[in-house]
Amino acid sequence: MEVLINGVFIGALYGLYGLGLALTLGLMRQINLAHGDFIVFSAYLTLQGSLLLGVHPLMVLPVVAVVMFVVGFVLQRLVIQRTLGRGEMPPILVTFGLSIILQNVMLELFSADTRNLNPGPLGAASIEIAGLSLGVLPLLTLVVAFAIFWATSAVFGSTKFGRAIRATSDSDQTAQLMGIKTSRIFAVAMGLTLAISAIAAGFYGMRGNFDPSTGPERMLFAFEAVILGGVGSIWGALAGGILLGLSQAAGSLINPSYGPLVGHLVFLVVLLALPGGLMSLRRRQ
Amino acid sequence: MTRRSRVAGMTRREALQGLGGAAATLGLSSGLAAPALAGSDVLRIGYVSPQTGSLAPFAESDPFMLQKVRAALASGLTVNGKTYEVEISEVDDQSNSDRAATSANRLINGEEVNLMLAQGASTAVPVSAQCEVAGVPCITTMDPWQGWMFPQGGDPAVGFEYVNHFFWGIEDIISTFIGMWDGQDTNKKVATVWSNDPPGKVFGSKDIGFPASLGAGGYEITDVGEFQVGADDFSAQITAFRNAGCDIVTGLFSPSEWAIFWRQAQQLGFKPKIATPAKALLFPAGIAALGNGGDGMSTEIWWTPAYPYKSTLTGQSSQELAGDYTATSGRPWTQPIGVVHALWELGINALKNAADPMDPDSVQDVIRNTNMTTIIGDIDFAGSPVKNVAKLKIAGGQWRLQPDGSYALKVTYNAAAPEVPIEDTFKLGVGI
Repeated sequence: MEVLINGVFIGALYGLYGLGLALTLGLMRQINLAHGDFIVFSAYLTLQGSLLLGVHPLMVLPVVAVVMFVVGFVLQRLVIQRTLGRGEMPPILVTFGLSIILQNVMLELFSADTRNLNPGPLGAASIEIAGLSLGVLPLLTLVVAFAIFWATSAVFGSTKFGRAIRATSDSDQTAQLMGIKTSRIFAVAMGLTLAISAIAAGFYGMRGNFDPSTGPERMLFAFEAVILGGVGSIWGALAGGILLGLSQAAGSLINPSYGPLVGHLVFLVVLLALPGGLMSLRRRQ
Repeated sequence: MTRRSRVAGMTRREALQGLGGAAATLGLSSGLAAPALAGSDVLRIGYVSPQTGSLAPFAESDPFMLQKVRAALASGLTVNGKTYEVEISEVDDQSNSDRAATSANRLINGEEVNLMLAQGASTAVPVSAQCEVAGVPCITTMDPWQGWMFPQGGDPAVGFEYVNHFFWGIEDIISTFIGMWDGQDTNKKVATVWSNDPPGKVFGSKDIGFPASLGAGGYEITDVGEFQVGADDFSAQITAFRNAGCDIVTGLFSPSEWAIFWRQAQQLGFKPKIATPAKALLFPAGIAALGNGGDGMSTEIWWTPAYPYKSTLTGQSSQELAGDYTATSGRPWTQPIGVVHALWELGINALKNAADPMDPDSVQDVIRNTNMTTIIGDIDFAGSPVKNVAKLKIAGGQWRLQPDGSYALKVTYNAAAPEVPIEDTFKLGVGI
């Protein structure tokens, strides 16, 4: 039972990875293949900040999120924006190149050493609920994930900015006719996705280890969470992430090495049976 | 990646570089590298180690050690009345076995090294394999000898022609761990967690690994399967161990994997009386990452400053070598320092005593018949029952939290290495 609950906790983290991707993929119709590497990069920034200032990683996290927002804004404005409107391939190729560049820059800057963020006493803390021993850090991850999903969904669902983004993604030209500065809107949205990834990176780094080459695996989990949930749905990414985490936990109950395998298998089955993802079930009703 | 050091005098290549322009020598030096060797009096040593990557802690002291060795060889090496310059080419394989193989190949064919030294769990085998084929004498360490010999298709009774290895074997670590646990007040239920990689397979092997010996020693094993290297979720294993009421936990972890395992064990309420992970707690950084939770955790010991031996290279005692390292680097001593130092002692010893240090067979002949006392104790290739392998003795010990919040490693068990003084008695309870 506790194993499965832990699966939900991990799933929430996968959902957070997926959220950034869900926004770029579903709402902006562009794929950021360097998503995983940006997560790892944020984790390194958090580590450096926390070592430099001698404070808990959670204290540095908001600053890193702001930094990554700026990075995302500039990146979209200066690089990705230039590739849009020429079909699907250019943004994919550009972000693929970015992924390789980022991995090698991180290798240069931080070496190939495996690192993690030290959560201090928070990491070992646990509380007992109904006879089950639950870690405080994983619980906190779950709460933060829900809060971020709620905030994102509120921003995109009911603000003027959210409407502008959705309008831009539906029809770039019509949105421009309505007086929306589409390039600026996309830049802000990209900034947001990287800021969310930075938060995910903080919790990822406190949970496990990272090195410059672990980005693509984060990317894989993020993709699976998004596809499982259904492209274009914000809450779908969370549902998909949790389903993925649960499947991995169930797999690890059979044999600890089977966890990732079962996760991928479930992904495959859902993709075959429900190509629209979990959220397509709700839409059909 | 390769750094070259000139130890004494001026090499022919440098003389040429002085004459030609910088641009011209780029082309010249590569063309001259091979022919320059024949008949010259420069001995070349290749050294491959994981200076970065997951195994970096094992090579942490390399810059310090290389500096020591180079200083010791500053006036060259005199063999049979002839003085040779010694050049050391060091390569970082980034803890990657493919890179280790390529680097070894380059050192053999590009630099034409006379002796190869290498250390690292993912380095020893690929480097040895290249040297055996090329006929270059080689000494490696930092990998249990079974994990070095069998992947190369070796037979303990036959051995190899040019490659040699010194380290402990799986049997030594098993007897040390069980020796530490025997006689302690536990329910003899042992939780084991092995990694899904070659060393983990050896540890968990039913024939030569822990399962057979634990069963024979009256211990009951709980094991739910191997974990993938780099795993960040151990809740399935921990829940099973907690529910089985295991008093002892052991396994093969990297320091960062063990930190995650222990964090999740605390979250899930698994509280063993004894925690003895192999590999993870060799390093001060590994135990420091656990905060106050690591007090009383136990580990195997390869070397500590308390070892009563002296270096044949520098004349320093163990205590002095460790102190020198801390003074130079500002970091606490680590166990691999002794082992890496011994590797250099063995390598230099082989060149110094060879009839002709340029001749691979003559160097290999010395290594095969070596029986010397190094900073980590006796290394005996000559009398070893396993061909081309010498075993180092290991002890067992516990990390103790000091009043100032740091940790000290105390030797508590020395059945296999009685010369090493016992510093404390084994205490039950972890993180209290």
